[in-house]
Formats: sequence, structure tokens, C-alpha cells
Amino acid sequence: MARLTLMKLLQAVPVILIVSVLAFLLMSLLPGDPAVVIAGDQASPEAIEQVRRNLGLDRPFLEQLGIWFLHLAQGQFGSSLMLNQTVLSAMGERLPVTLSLAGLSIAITLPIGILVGSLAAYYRQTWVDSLIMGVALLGVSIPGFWIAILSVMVFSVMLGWLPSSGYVPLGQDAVQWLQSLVLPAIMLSLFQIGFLARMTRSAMLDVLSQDFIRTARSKGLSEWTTVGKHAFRNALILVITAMGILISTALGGSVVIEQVFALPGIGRLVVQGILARDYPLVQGVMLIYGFVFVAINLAVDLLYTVADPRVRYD
Amino acid sequence: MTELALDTGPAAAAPVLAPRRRFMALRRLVAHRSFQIGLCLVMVLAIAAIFAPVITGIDPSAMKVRLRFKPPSETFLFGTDSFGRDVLTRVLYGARVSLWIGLVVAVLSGVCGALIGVLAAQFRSLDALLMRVMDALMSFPAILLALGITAAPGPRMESVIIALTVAYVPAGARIVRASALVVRELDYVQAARIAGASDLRIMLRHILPNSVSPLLVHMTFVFAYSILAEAALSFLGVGVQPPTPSWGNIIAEGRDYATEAWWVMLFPGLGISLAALGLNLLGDGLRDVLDPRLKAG
Repeated sequence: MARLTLMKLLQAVPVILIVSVLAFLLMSLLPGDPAVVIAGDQASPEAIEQVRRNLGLDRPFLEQLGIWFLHLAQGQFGSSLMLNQTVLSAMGERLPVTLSLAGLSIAITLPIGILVGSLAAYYRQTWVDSLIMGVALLGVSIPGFWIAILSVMVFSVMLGWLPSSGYVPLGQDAVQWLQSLVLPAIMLSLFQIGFLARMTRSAMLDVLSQDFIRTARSKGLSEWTTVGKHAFRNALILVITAMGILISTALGGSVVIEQVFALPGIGRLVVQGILARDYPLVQGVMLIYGFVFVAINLAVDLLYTVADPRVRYD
Repeated sequence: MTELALDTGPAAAAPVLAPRRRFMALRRLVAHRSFQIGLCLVMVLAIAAIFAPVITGIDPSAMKVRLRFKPPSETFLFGTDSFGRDVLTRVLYGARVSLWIGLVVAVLSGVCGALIGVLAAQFRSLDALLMRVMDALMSFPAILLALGITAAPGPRMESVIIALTVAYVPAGARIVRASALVVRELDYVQAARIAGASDLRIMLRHILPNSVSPLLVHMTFVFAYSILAEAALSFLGVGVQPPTPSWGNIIAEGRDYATEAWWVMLFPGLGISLAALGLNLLGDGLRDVLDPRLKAG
């Protein structure tokens, strides 16, 4: 177990290094002279030179990469050009919004997705299954931002039940906080519920066809014990896998949902950064997200080995 | 020979389809209901996109300011937008752009993924490096990675294609590698190796063809995801730029006056949903038939 953990940790090291290099390379993808692109078309030669020097673009490529790693080792993730702020503090300010949104959406998704997915598997090839899987299919097919705009029109503009945009911090007013997030979180969950239900169904079908389920049934255990305890427990392993994917899609999807509902989160920050050609900001956010996901994937891998003794990596 | 290997192989990751079996698979596919529905949906949309100029006969960017915001009627089935352009025409032309991007991304990322996956499985020394790079790429949420990549060369159709391809290659590479690792241990590949076949021949003739079915299933889903992702990118303003219509940017334009002229953003969204639905159904059907391990119920 300890050896395995160590091995997994060691495997994550090159991934972190490659993530850093990839984020660094983003800047070199810029066509032509990055300094000109960042400074803008109308910038004076002096201004361009200034940008070039500030970003260290006047140095050789390998030296730039070296400096990049040196800064990372010191915990410096760069500074935003448009905000006059370090990337970390800009992200820190917006983190609560994105975390609340993603957290709420996952809290909605997990119970519903697993419940309906299991129901579909249990009642396979009946109308229950068809209905649930049909709805789940719609969930993964309908574009989230489009249904989100439609939902704003219905629930905020026409019915006036919920605010159409904006964010109220949890510390300020818990009720308004929930009101400002409930619609965005549900919209973000639609895809995820569909995804999780489909995943749960096939995992449960897999388990339900196993020999030990037949054994449990034939030795006279109640249906509840068979399915509830034996099957469900085994399918729960899936929650661990699902969590990794759900966190990833929730944070990815929040980029678009924050834009629709004008929520001041990290996703909106990235989009603003891209439209304002604030590449150091985009680079920094990508890098930090990359690190976070390397950590999440590592956690998923390790949890696997704890939860399922059959999983052994050689 | 191949039949034999198939029957004894461990769970036969991707069955080698001898001619008769291939025919059987095709027959089962044609009889599969979600495959039928999916195929119909995708065909109808593809035909509508291909024959867009014939169907409408209107220039998608022709503006008639006097005809602004006309609701759906007999003359304008889907209404008109803020410039008095025919929404039906724009949705049809948008289908060309959106479906094309989805198709190109699915094919490109499938081909690159297949190459990387087979190389990783065949040359164990390359494996660690290639797969760690894939892990690194997969550490970014796909839409964020695509956003970052489109940011650099600026918003254009080509950058959207490149960005989404890069975002979806790793998953394809993993799938192909996984099945290639199973296939390369099968007796007939070992036999080919002993008979002196070169690495290249083994990869192209034996391993690749037998790793194709899971990839094909995956590519169908990537097609659907790419249409959704392109729409999201264009909606955020970093995808296909107006005046070229894409389903995403028509929605973005229509959003500003969604309450007064709901029809502008309603129809392209329906287009995206139907396309993604059709492709997901196709993918489900392909998976059930080609990948028997996942055969449900």
C-alpha cells in the first residue's frame, strides 16, 4: 500500500512538470511577436519594448523556461496585466463564487444521478428505464448555456421568481446566496446528472449480472438486501471515478454558466482575460487548474486502491 | 486464424470481424433502435447543411433593416434577427459550420489518438513519455484547455478546430492504447512477430484495425461534444466570429434580445440539441453492437 502510494506520487511528478511546460508554451503559440500582440496594435515601439522586458521575452527560450520554473518553485504564478494583481490573489477573490457554484451543482448531481441511474438499471428494458435514459440523453445533448438563457427568461424575466444575474456572498446573506446560485447550479447539473445516470446504469448492470448477485438471490436474501447492500455497495466504487469527472466538468462548465448569469467567478475571469489579451493571467489560471486536477486525479487513483482491494497497479 | 484468436482471447477487447461476422454486426446495427433514430437525425441535419443554398436561396448575411425582428411566419419560418436576416437561412448555414467543425475534430482527434495510442502500446520506451503528456493534457478541463489554445492564435474557425482536437486527443489515445495492449498479446500478433513481421506492419496490419471499434464509438461521442464545445466557445466570443454564422454565435447574438425575439436564439439551440442527440444515439448504438462487453441488459 505504501509502495503503491509512493509510486503514484512519483508518477504525478512528471505530469506536473509537463503541465507547467504546456502552460508556458501557451505564450509561444501566439503568432508573430507576443509582445506586439499583448501590447496591442496601436502600441508605440517603446511600449512594446517595455512589455517585452517585463515579461522577459527578450531572453533566449530556454532561459525563459528556466525563469518560469524558478518562479513556480517560489510559488509565483505571474500577474495579470489588466488587473494589476497577482494571478493567485485574483483567483482567490473569485474562488468562493466558483466553489459555491461547482459544489452546489455536484451536491445536486450525485444523489439524483446515482438514484435514477440505479433505477434505470434495476428496471432495465421497462418504460422506467426508457424514460430515465431518454431524459439523461437529453441532459448530455442540450447545450447548457442555451437552456440556461432560456431558464433565465422563464424563471427570472417572466415569472420573477429568481434573480437573473449577480452573486451575493454567503457571509452577507445565506438566503440570497442560495437564490443567486440555485438556477445556475441546476443548469450546470443538467449535463452532469445525465452523464452520471448513464454511467451509473452501466456500472449497476455490470454488477447485477455478476455471480454473487445470483448467489445472494438464490440463497433467499430479500431483494432489498441483494440490491441495496450487495450491488449498490459494489457500484459505489463508481462514485470515486465519477467525482473526478464531475469536478472537472463542473469547473469547466462553470466557465460558460458564470458568463450567462454574470457570476464573478474564476471562469468569468478567464474569459475576460482572453478577450483582454491578458495572457499571463490566462496562463496562470490554466496552470493552477492543471495542478489542482493532477492532485484530484491522484486522489481518485489512491482512493480506488483503498476502496477496491482488487485494483492493484503493477 | 483470426477467428481462433478471437475465441480464446481475453475478453476480446475489439473483436476481429471476419467477413460474415462483420455482416452480422452491420445487421445488428441496422436493427438497433437508437442507432436508427440517431442515424436519421444526423442524416437529416447533414442533408440540410449540405443543401442549405438550395433549400433557402437567400444570402445568410443579406440584411433588410425594414424586416427586423419579424416573428416566425409563413415567409420567415424561423423569423428574422436584429439585422432583418432570415434566421432559418442562418441556422442552415450555421449547421454547415458547426457540423463541419464537429466532424473534423472527431476525425483529427481520432487519427492522432490512434497513432499515439498504438505507438505507446508498441514501443514501451515511448509509452511513459507519451502517456504522461496525455495525462497532463487531461489535467485541464476540456473547455478550459480549448479556451486557452484559441486565445493564442485569436478567434478563428481553425483555432477552434485545433483547440478541440488537442483537448480530445488524450482520451482517444488512452482508449486505443488500452485495447492495443490487449491485442498485441494475442496469439496471432505473436505469430506475426515470430514470422518476422516488422513493427510497422504489426502496428498497421494487426494492432490498429483491431483497436478501431472502441475508437469509432469514442469518435462519435467526440463529434457530439465538439458541437457542444464549439457552440460554447463561439458563445463566449472566442469561437467562430460573425458574420460567419455558427450555431453558437447566432445564440450569442440572439441572447441580447432574447425576451423580445426569442426565436433568434431558440432555433440554433434546437439544432445543437438535435445534432448532439443524434450523435449520442448513434454512439450508443455503435457501442452496444461493437463493444459487447458494455452491452446493456
